[in-house]
Amino acid sequence: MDWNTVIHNVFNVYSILYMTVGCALGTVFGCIPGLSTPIALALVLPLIFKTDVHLAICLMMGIYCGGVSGGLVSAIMLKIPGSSAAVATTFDGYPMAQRGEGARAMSIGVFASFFGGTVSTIFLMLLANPLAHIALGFGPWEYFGTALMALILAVFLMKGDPLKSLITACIGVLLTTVGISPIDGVAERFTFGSVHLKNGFQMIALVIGVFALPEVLKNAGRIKNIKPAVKLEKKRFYLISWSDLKELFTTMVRGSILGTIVGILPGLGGGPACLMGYAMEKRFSKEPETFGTGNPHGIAAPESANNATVGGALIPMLSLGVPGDTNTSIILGAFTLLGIATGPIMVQNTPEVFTTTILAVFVANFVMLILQSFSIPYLVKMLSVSNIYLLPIITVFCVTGCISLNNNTFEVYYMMVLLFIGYLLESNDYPVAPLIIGFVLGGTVETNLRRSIMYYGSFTNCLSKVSIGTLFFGVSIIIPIIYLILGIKNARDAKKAS
Amino acid sequence: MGEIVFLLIFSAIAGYMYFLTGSFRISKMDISGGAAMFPRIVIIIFLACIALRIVQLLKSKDTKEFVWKNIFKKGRREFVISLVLYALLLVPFGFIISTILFLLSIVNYFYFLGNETLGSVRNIVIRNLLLVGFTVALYFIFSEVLGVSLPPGILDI
Repeated sequence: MDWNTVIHNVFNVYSILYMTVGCALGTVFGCIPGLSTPIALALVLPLIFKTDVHLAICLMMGIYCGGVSGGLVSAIMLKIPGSSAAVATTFDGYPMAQRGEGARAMSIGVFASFFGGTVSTIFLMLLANPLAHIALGFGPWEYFGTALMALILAVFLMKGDPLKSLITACIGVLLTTVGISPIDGVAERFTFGSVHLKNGFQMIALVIGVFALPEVLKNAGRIKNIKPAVKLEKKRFYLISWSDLKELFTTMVRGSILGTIVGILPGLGGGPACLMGYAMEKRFSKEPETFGTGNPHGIAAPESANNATVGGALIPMLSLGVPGDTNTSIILGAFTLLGIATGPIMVQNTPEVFTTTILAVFVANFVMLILQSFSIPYLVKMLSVSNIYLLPIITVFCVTGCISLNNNTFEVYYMMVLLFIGYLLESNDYPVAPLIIGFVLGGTVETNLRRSIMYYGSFTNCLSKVSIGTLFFGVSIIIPIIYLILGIKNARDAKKAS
Repeated sequence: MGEIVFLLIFSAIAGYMYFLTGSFRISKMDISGGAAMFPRIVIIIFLACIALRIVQLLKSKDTKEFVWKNIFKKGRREFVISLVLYALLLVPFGFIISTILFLLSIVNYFYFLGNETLGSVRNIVIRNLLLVGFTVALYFIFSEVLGVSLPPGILDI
């Protein structure tokens, strides 16, 4: 691998510019309640078709880092988390802002995000490459097992009812079966004779339809309820003070390690990481009673934990080609659109792209720190620029993005249908993330299952093979069975108790 | 009850999809289980999950209502109507005209909803001119810079 190329890919004016734009966009989407990082990622997907691969990576990594961190602005100033990854930040951030320490809270939050992101990127650097090299020995059966287990873990670890998650994941997987069948390439499945459906549903239209637009629609009903932000003390740079850094260093280390681990596990992401980070810090604290009243540790822990999920989630995505949440699913889809094969093949065929991605996340964290340190007051102002303009403009971007996929309006029509499905699912606590993960992984699962059957002669022969694929397949079967047994047991206990 | 109906609609679609898998073309060379195998497995799992959920709902004493009516809540209703009209007018009217119509109608409506006034005449003019400018700029970015062919419609550009 040519290191000069990698360094040039990340450290040139255009890359830094794309990263800065990405960070700014991610921060804005992260800080405005109702908007989110996946929406920002989905919106730029149509724009990156004609962009250089490395610039596209810089843009996406900027959005990812900025978006996860951006939620802290509204969490501290409005007591409304911009994203689920900032829920715990409201507990101590808002009380601090109320007592006139908004600038300090912001500075701590921004630095903790940077710290968490950087630590997790170091883990990414250390773990992704060896893991990818191990995975180079994988055959179709191992890929099948890995993808299936990632999907099952994403379903069962996600917040909410696993049965509902499994239903949405099945919808996502079923949507991948539309179009020409893989392997044999002769069957047109569920196309109803439509030429447009021969290539199946488009990832971007699906993400926009089931994820981005339902959020816009949800916010359209809340135009009136704009809460005024707490006043923020004016400063040129919102940088953490030396005394705060010394005091919070251990907290941030703990949060970062926890966040990285949570990020690696499929289905969790920033939301649970920030809550777990907060709970862990409260347990470690000598003054747990001060949590919730404006304790700086209550900001440093969740913020470092949520940003640490970025590097963590990229480890399985880059080394195994397995996304763990909506963000990495969209990024994985973008890599496919850019013609880059992810997973171990990436290390073998395009090592420069692999290393560029890791280095881009690392640099994006620094860009994020600098950008957020001086843009906080503007972001707070932006919170008052209501959804009046943003929602319609985002909608237009969504529609234009869908048209640009195939230069026709067909994608817009099924995107509208998906909008209603996505809205109904989300409004009734059916998580949409498993649907997207199912859509991303469904094709991998089917292709590798069929390849395995071809290779070993039958499915039973695959099962009799002693390999990591069989182990992962076994785990994927055992998890739902355990859930089912526990469910029956709980129902019986409840019946007995009543 | 609403959720059960919702799930039954999904299971009817899945059942129909299962029926369609019978007509998939089969390659004689294919020894991987065929094009129908995977969709059938997923549909069976899907239907089993739906059945479990329905049993769960019937046994549960929780009477949480299925949310679907709030799509017609003030703000959302107008947004949905204008979005549907926008999608339908894209081809006959073209991208520029339909986008301008969509933005002008929904932004002004949202402005009124949020502020209970449309603002001063100067405000209205600036707001609407900016929206027209945004649409034209977006059209040129996508069509000229990115080479996307957006619907020309009646303007035929």
